[in-house]
Amino acid sequence: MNNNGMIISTRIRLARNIDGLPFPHRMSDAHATKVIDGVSKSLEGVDRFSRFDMNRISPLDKSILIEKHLISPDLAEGKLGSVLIDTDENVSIMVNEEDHIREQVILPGLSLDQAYDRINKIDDVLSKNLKFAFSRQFGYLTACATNLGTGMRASVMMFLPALTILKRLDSAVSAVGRLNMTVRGVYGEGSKADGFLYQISNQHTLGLKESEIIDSVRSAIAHIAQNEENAREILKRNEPEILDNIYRAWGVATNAYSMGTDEAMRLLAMIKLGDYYGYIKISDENVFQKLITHIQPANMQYIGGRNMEPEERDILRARYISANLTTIAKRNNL
Amino acid sequence: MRCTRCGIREAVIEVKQTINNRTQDMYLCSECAAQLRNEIEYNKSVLLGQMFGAQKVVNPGFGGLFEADGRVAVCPGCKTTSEEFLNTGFVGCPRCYEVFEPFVRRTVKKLQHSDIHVGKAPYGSSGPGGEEAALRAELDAALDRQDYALATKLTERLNQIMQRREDKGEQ
Repeated sequence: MNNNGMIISTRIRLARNIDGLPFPHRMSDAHATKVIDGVSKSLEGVDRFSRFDMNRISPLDKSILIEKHLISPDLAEGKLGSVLIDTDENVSIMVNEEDHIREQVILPGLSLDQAYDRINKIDDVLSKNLKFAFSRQFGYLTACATNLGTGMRASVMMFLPALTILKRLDSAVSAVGRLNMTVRGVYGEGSKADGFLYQISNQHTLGLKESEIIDSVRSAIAHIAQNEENAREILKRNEPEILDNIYRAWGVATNAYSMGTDEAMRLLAMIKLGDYYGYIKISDENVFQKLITHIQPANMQYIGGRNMEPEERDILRARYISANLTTIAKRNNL
Repeated sequence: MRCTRCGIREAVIEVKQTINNRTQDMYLCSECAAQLRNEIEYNKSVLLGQMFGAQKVVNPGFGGLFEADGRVAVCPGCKTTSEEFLNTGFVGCPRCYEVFEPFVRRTVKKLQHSDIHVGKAPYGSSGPGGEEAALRAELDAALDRQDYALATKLTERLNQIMQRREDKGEQ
């Protein structure tokens, strides 16, 4: 599939629980400790993992991990949760979130097979050391019935500006309704997706093999990507308007003194679209993508080296974006 | 504790039976609980009064198995009730799936469009889904079309598989 910068990353997670223990919402502190100790011990010698206990790290550190998609807000809020993260930050094992164990791999681009391969190997290691709750009827047993069976959620993060601007995302997704996918905005509340970034993931986890889930997500992604491609052509029919919007975004992003997260996300999205049309040249796609994570509020404070008020963050953000953009991207004059 | 109905298998579910204002606890294995559910579904109007003394049925679409106080089925492991599961979709522990199995299966089928696992199995497990899951699905279908003769045969076959598994000491 021709990616065209539409596919940002792939995430696969497996939900697992330990047999004989109550699920996290019913468990005691002693049970929680037993689970985290068991998982930590099982992973010794697999990869290098760093462990972070939610009751020991600062709120800022939690927010940074959330913005990097390494933990969920639910894990951060609970007092019994922990996470184990590998050195390259591709693998995170959340412990005592909704389920005892949420194994997760995030890889750049469309990497469904590679992501599954990696998480499956880690799952095998954990499975040899821990007795997972499993039934022949329902598969891996989870706290919520919506995760039964494989316990697997395969998600692909897509950049879909044209479908969003033309308000055609819903119809593109409903056209693949038989594949039972869910779509949610990655940043922003509800359907408002600043940055035009969306997670497309499988809805059903039971009655399908892992390979079938991967195939259905892949089919849905291909269909949505084709629709986005078509929408971008439609958008370009009014070239003066789209060109003006993109150049304005470039102008503000490289010159502003202060910038909020929402505005920054919208501007960077337009610049990324400009790269597709050839109005702007982004020389390093990976650095550009990291920029989107770095400008989030907690990461911005981490970069600033201290806790900051929103106004201070906005000034730092504007400076940071301008400095990075002018290094990895340039405006093509038509 | 042995099942008060068959006296053979381990009880996994507690059912409160109220007849003529006298309430009595019954402890059933999952097979007998499933059989009880099926009997109730076929003779619902008669049996609901006899078995549960229910005056008001909540969630009639789910087989009408629960009294208004929702305390018919309670997991002995974590004390989660069937009503809690129906309201939230959450169970409290792995054992709940065994305890609420007859009820859970229908909800799961609605949610997931399937009630049989066909994917990966954990290390050391003898495999996913397989014959038992297929038989359970067949049993459901037979009961739905009221083919009792086939349902009886399938139940016997399931019991043999369960017995064989118990003999092997499997999970």
